[in-house]
Amino acid sequence: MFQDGKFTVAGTDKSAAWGDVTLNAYIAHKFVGEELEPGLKEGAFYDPVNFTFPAGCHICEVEVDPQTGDSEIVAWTAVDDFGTVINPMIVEGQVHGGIAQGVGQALLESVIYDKDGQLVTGSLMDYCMPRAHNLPTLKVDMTTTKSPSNPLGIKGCGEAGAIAAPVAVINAITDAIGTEDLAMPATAQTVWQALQKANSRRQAA
Amino acid sequence: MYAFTQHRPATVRQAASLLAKEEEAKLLAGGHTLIPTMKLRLAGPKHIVDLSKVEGLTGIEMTGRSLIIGAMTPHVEVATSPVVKENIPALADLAGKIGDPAVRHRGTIGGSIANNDPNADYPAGVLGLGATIVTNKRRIHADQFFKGMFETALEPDEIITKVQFPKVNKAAYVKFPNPASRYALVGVFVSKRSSEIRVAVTGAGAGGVFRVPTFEEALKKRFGAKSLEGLTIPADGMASDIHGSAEYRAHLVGVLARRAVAAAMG
Repeated sequence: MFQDGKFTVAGTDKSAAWGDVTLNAYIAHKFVGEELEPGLKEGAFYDPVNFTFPAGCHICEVEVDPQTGDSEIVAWTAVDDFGTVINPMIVEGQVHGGIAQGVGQALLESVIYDKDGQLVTGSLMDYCMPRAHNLPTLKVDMTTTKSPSNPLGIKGCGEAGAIAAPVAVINAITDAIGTEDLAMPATAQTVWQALQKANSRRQAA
Repeated sequence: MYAFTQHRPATVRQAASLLAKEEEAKLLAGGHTLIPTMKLRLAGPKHIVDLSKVEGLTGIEMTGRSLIIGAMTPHVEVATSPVVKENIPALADLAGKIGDPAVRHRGTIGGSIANNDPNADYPAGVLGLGATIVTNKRRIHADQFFKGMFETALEPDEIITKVQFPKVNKAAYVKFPNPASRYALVGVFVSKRSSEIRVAVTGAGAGGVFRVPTFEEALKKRFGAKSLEGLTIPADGMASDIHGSAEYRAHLVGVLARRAVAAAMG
């Protein structure tokens, strides 16, 4: 029986402290392998009553150069609700990293194979990852609505930025250029081509 | 990487005789193209002639109306040189836009133009300023130097020692970088020296750096961005790859040329 940090044998006054038990469980050469293995293990599976549902709003402002199609992100404001936050600094870091990843997906990153199945974006000279200059200073804030599905009231935060960012970026660009016919990644050439297409459609109409 | 022998000559003459004597010998300047291609085993020279210890190949000076830059001068020195900034600021600006800081501290002007990468920045500056390439054998005008993608007028045992730039009245370089590699997807260098106008384009051409005579003619009448309004170049002959179609590159040439002229006007 385990109580008050001690193991006791029911009906006797024999007991051993938790620290002694755990230490002895790992002392080498004390165990005859055939009879007993050293170590102390216990597993548990927590089955919450429901998933957690973080929610948030990301606002991205872009400036599109209509002559080249180049898009620059000039401002970013994100407010997310992750329920109870234990360490706000690392949570903000998760949001920053997620936004950077999402911006990469929206503007820069694409895996391209040629017709023979050869990967042509096989190095960072051709596969474009986001860099610091692709991002403005991010304004990140949080609201706290505790999750009812676990005792701590916490929600997931790792993917929030990566989920919100592509949508925010592409919505900002399509709003700027006046056409929603735009595939990711919205590279300068892709945006320029979308503008050309929209212009010729406008002229034809 | 395949095995090779490294030579470290102290003079240009020694370097040239090694190049002539050893089979499959390659010059090593900043090494930013040669070393990666050797690592990928796309190149396997038996002999490397390292120019880093050769005397007299670095330095920047003004002689009369000419700016002279030693072939082994790294980009960072050109970018930050008060002499370059005072006399041809567009060239300092170009050098400061090459690659990233690590590249600029190792890469050299001689290495860049000898390699004549179709997306490199320096070929645009050298052709756009009408520079003269000085080698251990002769002087070659920029118009005769660049012979197509990765091809130059250099003979097998010829070594660039310096590049001589004439001082111009107005010049500017505008670059649209490939976002991944930072090479020029398209870069346009314009310059005006009395009646001589030059518009040189890197990154766009299927055959490497080239001049745009139609733009130059228009600018001769009046040097201003408005003179290029409505002028385009055909997509025919432009490079096309995963980073940009021939049409997009041709379009950017016009946009960047107008911006370069505007920048040159101050």
